[in-house]
Amino acid sequence: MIETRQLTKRYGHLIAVNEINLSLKEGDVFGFIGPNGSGKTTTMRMIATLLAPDYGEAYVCGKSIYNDPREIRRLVGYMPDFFGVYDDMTVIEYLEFFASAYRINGPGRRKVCEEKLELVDMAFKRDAMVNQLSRGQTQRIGLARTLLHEPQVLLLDEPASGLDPRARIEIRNLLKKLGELKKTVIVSSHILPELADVCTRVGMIEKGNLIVDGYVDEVMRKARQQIMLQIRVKENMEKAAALLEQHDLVSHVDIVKGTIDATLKADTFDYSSLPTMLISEGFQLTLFREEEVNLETAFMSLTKGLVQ
Amino acid sequence: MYGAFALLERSLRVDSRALSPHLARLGLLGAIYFSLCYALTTSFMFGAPGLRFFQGIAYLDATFMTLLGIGFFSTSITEEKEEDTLGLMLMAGISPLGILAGKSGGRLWQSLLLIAVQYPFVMLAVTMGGVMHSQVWSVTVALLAYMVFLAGFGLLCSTLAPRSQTASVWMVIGLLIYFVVPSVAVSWSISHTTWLLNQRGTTPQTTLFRTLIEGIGDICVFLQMGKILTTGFRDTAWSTQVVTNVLAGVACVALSWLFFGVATRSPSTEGGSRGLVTRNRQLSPFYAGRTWINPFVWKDFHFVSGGMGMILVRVVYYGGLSLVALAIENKNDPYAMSWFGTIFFLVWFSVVVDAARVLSRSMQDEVRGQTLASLMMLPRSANGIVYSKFAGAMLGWLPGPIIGLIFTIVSPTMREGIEQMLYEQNGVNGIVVITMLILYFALIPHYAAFFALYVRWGAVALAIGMTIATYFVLMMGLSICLMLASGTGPINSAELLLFVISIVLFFICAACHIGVMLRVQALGSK
Ligand SMILES: Nc1ncnc2c1ncn2[C@@H]1O[C@H](COP(=O)(O)OP(=O)(O)O)[C@@H](O)[C@H]1O
Ligand SMILES: [Mg+2]
Repeated sequence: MIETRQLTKRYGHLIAVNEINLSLKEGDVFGFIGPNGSGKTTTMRMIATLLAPDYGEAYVCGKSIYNDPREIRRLVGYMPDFFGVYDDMTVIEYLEFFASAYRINGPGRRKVCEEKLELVDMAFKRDAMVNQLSRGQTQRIGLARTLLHEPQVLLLDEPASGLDPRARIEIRNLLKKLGELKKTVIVSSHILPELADVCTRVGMIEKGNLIVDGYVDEVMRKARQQIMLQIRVKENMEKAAALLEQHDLVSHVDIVKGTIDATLKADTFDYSSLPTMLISEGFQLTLFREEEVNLETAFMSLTKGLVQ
Repeated sequence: MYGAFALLERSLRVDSRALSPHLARLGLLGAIYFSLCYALTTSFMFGAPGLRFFQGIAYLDATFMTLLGIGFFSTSITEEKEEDTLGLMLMAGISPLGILAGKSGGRLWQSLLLIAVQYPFVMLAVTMGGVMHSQVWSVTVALLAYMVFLAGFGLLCSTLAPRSQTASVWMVIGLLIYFVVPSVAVSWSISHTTWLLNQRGTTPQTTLFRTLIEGIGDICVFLQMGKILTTGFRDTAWSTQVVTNVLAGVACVALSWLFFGVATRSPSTEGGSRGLVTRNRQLSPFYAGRTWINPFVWKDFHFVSGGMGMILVRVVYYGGLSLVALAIENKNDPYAMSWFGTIFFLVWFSVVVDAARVLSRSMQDEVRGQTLASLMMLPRSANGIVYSKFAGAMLGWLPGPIIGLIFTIVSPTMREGIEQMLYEQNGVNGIVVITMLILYFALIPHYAAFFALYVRWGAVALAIGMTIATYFVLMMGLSICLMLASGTGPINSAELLLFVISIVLFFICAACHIGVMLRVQALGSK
């Protein structure tokens, strides 16, 4: 559905997006993660045909951004990171205006608008003025607008930024719904946990480079290649840490907040000799467990050394 | 006090990056240069080139200062209100007086630069002869006093008004009163000289009335400069105009200070800005209704031009003016005819300014609301969107030109005038003159739509200024060319001049269309 080849954008000497290759299938919800200024918005604008790349290609549903921008705009719903609303309109007027701009006319139009309002849980604000909505409500109206023309592909730029925790959860549920509707979604964020459990795919961008990209379970598996153990002993923590450091299975050891974090060497899965060793040396174990791998820790371990 | 300096420094830095003051200075320099050429080429016939040149500079200064002042001083406080930063400043411990001084000081400085920029030319005017140093000095003092008034009055409007747009409208109305009332008083006292003379010393009331009527003309800077720039001027520089303008400016600052707390407490953007367009069918007949097949036309008709309600207002305004003018039309009374002419001009000038206003708002609202990206993302051509928007905005504007045309055709004076123009007069084809006039006025809305995509405020004022400057440059530049070329053979120079000007104006209008499209697309991808 979305395919980019060496997509590149420069601003003077700054390379905002550097040869990004992406390939997303139908139903993929792609979490596009990176700190502020890493090039997420720039990438999405290029895919949305709003910004011309300096180099490279991008296709949406097989259509090239150079040859069929109009067709792509019909297929894509893009929600910018900052977008204005016509604050002199009511919510329903605003949606009907855009519906009509997408050439949805006739008696069905009002129904489509109300359906989308329902979907984003904003039906109760139907006749409110747009400028009297809260930030989160405006964001949801923006999302409803993006969905009006039933786009196959959704580009959502930081949809959850500035929202309270409850609204974030609602946005997340909405994303899940969209994935179930077989839409292809790119959703960006500078905070990882926000996207961790709704995405099927994740990519991490840093200074314009896509440094990690893959399906969630794939990323997890890669991260799991190095197991990290959390160990706590009653006394002589430093001594235990030194002992572990010298052990054949252990690659390195950190002490964090009274816990020894021991990272095992690559492809080491059987670590049952470690507790035995510690106990035989006379240490009293109070905690010994494998750290749970979630998307966040996976990223931390995968990007170690890549990100400074 | 430190806060005021920080503000002043910031506003100096930010404002010096803004486009309009630089444009104004550039425009002024260009205009002055052409005024010089004009004075030189015409001095063979009339003499005193220095005085003519200096007159040009003085009036240009006052005009540019007015236009810049409207766009500049009236936004000083409202722009902070709009960005909701006023509260932050007050919390940072900057006193209201500090904010007022800091925000307007930078702008005053920019405007002073406007006067300073043409100092070498003033010296040139003096060496060219015909101007006395006392005249230069008096004009400078008069202009500075006028600027103090502009700054103070703009600051007051900006403090009291909730939004920049409102503030600049108030300022325009205030300045119109400042220009029109003295001029009317002077013209009235001239036409009633004998009656006024007979009133001398009859009762205290009539004496007071006479002093007022005669004195009120002294407060307007344009009239005052007219007095200074006659040959043989020997009054003091500290005229009534200087004293009253400075006092008014200071009083306005004092009032701003007084009302600062009250006026800035409520947020600026609260409440609908829908004007007369209602949300509900039951409430009034001016219901926006459902979106039309072309949503852009629908939106700009209702939310830019004001919808049915504003159409009614326009019909009443233009209809009322036209009826009054037709009622007083009487060729045997020159006094009535001068009023008739004024109203005729007012009707058509309103039509032009209204066009400029709706077109510039149609663009500016999108830029300020950051909504262009959403529009450019639609599967429609950018041209289609922009011209639909313009069409919607102009739909609401239509009553003006329609009533204006009816008025022009119905009035015997105007009909005769046009018929006469259509016959050749002094060797100039009337159609060329009318074409040139139409293009000249059409340039104002074109510029306004274009500049609205570059400046945050005052696109209409800038457009009027730039149109005058464009015309001035064309007129002077081409007449100099023609004068130089006239040795080559018998050509009808006046007609040729107007013809060439029309063509150039036409191309500038076309360039505005292209410029708007390019700029909209650029802004949409930002
Ligand atoms: N119009 C522009 N001109 C110059 N630099 C820009 C422009 N837009 C973005 N950039 C730069 O490109 C980089 C990527 O920006 P962006 O894509 O907005 O990042 P993100 O959305 O990940 O926060 C940033 O360093 C930013 O400063
Ligand atoms: Mg961004």
